[in-house]
Amino acid sequence: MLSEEKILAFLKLQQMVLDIEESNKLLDHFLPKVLQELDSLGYGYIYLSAIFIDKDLKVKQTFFTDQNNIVSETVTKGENLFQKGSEWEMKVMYGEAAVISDVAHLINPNYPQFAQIHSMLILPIQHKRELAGILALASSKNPSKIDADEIEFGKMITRLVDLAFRLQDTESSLTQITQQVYTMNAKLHQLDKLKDDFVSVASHELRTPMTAIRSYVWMALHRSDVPLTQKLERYLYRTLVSTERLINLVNDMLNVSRIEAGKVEIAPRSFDLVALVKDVVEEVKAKADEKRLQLLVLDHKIPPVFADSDKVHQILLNLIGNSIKFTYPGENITIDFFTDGQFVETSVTDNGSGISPEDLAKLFHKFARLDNSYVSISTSGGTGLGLYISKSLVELMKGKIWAKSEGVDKGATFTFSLPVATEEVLKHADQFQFKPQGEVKPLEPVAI
Amino acid sequence: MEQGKRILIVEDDQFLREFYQELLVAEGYNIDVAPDGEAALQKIWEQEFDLILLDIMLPKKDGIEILHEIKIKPPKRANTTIVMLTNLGQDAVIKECFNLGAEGYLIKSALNPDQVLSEIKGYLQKAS
Amino acid sequence: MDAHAQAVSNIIKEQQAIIGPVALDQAKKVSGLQVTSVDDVKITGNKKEVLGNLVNQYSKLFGRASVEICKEAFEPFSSKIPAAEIPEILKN
Repeated sequence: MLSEEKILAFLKLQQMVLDIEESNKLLDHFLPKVLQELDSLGYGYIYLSAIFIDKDLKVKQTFFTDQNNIVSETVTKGENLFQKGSEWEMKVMYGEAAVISDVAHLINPNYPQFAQIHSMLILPIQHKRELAGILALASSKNPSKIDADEIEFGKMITRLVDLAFRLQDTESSLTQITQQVYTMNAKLHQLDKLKDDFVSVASHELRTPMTAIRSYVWMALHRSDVPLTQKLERYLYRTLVSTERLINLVNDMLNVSRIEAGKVEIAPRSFDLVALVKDVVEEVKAKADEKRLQLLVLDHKIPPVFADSDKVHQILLNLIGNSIKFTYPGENITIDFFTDGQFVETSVTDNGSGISPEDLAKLFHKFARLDNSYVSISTSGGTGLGLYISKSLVELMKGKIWAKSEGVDKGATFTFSLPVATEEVLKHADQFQFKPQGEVKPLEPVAI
Repeated sequence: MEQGKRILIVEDDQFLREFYQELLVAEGYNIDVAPDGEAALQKIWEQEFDLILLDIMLPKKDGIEILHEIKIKPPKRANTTIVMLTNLGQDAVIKECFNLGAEGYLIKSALNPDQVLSEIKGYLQKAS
Repeated sequence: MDAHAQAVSNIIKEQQAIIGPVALDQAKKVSGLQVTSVDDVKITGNKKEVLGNLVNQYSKLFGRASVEICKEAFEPFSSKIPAAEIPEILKN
C-alpha cells in the first residue's frame, strides 16, 4: 500500500523532472533531490547510483550522489556489470529488484563510508520492457530490513530516473544538431557576404578607370587647347557617351545583383503618388526640353498608395526616361492614373517608336532577351536592365507592370499598379514590408 | 577670391589625381596632392588647407581613418573643410562620413568636371 | 544609442542573418536588456555584464561558432569602447 506521504513525495519528484530548465544537467540536479525525498520518507540511503547501459550491456553513463555532494565519478564499480552472471544480475536482467548483502565487491573501497554499507537495493531501470540500466541504493540497514514496500516505491522512482535520463539525452542530441545547423548557416552566410562584397568591390574598381576616361574625354571635348575638327569632336563625343553607358551599366548590374540576392529593403508608407510623379517630371524636365517634349500629368483625385516611395521614384524615372528616349522631338508624353479602390494604375504613354509584337514579350527580361536567344530588342543605348529592375521592384511591392503597343512607330503605354493604402492594407502592413537578413544594400541611381 | 585658395587632393589613382590637379590649377587654385593616407596626414599636419578633397579607398590609411584623425583627435585642423570625393555610394558610408564631420560627399562617377568645379566653389564659399 | 547598445544591436543583426527570428527571441531573454526591435535596443543593466550575457545566451544554444560571430559583429565597435568595459568572452 502506498502511503499518502509516498504519493506526495513521488508527485513532487515528477514535477521536478518536468520543471528543471537546463535539461543537459538534469540528472545532476535531480538525483540529489531524489535522495533527499527518500531521506524524508525515512529511507536514509547512504548513496544513490544510477548506471545506464546500452544494448550490449556495456556501461553508457553513470551518475552518483550521496548526502554530501554530487560526484560523477562512480563509487559503484559498474564496469563489470552483468559480466559475472551472478544470481542478482540475472534477477535484475529479468526486471526484478535484487537485494545484495555481499556489497564489498561492488563498491570502491576508497569510499569513506564503505564500512557503513551493509546492503544494496538494486532496481532495474526499464524502458519499454528493455533494461536501460540500474538504480543502486546503498543502505546501512541489514538486508533483511528491506521490505516489499520499499522495493515497490523504489521501482516507481526508477521510472522517473529513466524519464529524466531520456530528457537529458534528447536535449544533448538536439543541442548537437542545433550547433551543427548553426555552423552550416554561418558558413553559408559568410559565402553570401563574400559574393556580394565581390560585386560591390568589382563595381567600385570598374568605376575608377571609367571615371578617368570620362573626365579626360570631357576635358578634350570642352577644354581642348587646340581647335577640334568635326571628326575628332564626333569621335570624342561618342567615347564620352559610351563611357556614360558603361557607368550606367555597372550601376544597373549592381542593382540587379542586389535585388536578386534579396538585399534590397522595401519600406512602404502611405503617400501621394500624383505628387511624386510631378516631382519626377520636374527632375527630368531638362532632358525633356532638350527634345522639346511636353510632359503632361493628368491630375486625378487618387487615394494614397502604400509603397516604398524611393523605389517608386526609381520606377518612374525608368519609365518616363524610356519614353523620353524613344519619342520623337516635339511630341507629348502623358502620365495618367486609374483606380478601382484597391490598386492605383499609373500609365506612361508616348507616341514614339513603339514596340513590335515579338519584342513585347522580351521587354521585361534581362537585356531584353528571352532565355536561350541571341535576338534582343533595340535598347537604343539603354542598359537593357531598367525594365527588369522596375518589374522586380513593382512585384516586391505587390504590384504589377505591363506594356501595350500597337506596333512599330505607333507609340507605347507602360502601366504599373500599386496597392491603395486602405484600412485592410494598413492592418497587414508587415506583409508589404521586406527587410532583408543581414546587410541592407541601397540601389544605385537610375540613369535616364 | 578664388585665386590663392589652398586645396589638397587625396586620391590614389594617378590618372584621376592628375586630372583633378590640372582641372583645379587651371581655375587658379593652389593645389597639393597626396597619393595615400599617410602622405595625406603628413601634409595636413604640416600646412593649412582651405579645402581637402578626400577619397575613401586609399593605401596605408583610408579616408574614414583620416576623417577620424583630423576631426576627432586634437583639434589642430578640426576646422578644415573636408569634402569626400569617392565612388563609394552606400548610405552607411555616407552617414558615417557626415557623422565624423565631413562637409560634403561627392560621387566621382556621377559628376562631370564642370559639376565638380561648381561643387568645390560652393564649399569654399560656405567656408569663408 | 551609445556604443554598447549599437554593438548589441549589431550582434543581434548578425545572428539574425544566420538563425533568423530566433536571434531576437534569445536577445529578449537577456536580463538588463530591453529589445523592442533589432534597431531599438536599451541596456538597463551593467553594460559590460549585459553584453557578456547576450553572447552567453547565444553560446548556450549554438556553441563556439556563435561566439565567433558575436566577436565579428562587435569588431567595428571595439575601438569605441574602453577595454575595461568589454566582457572577457569578446576579447581575443
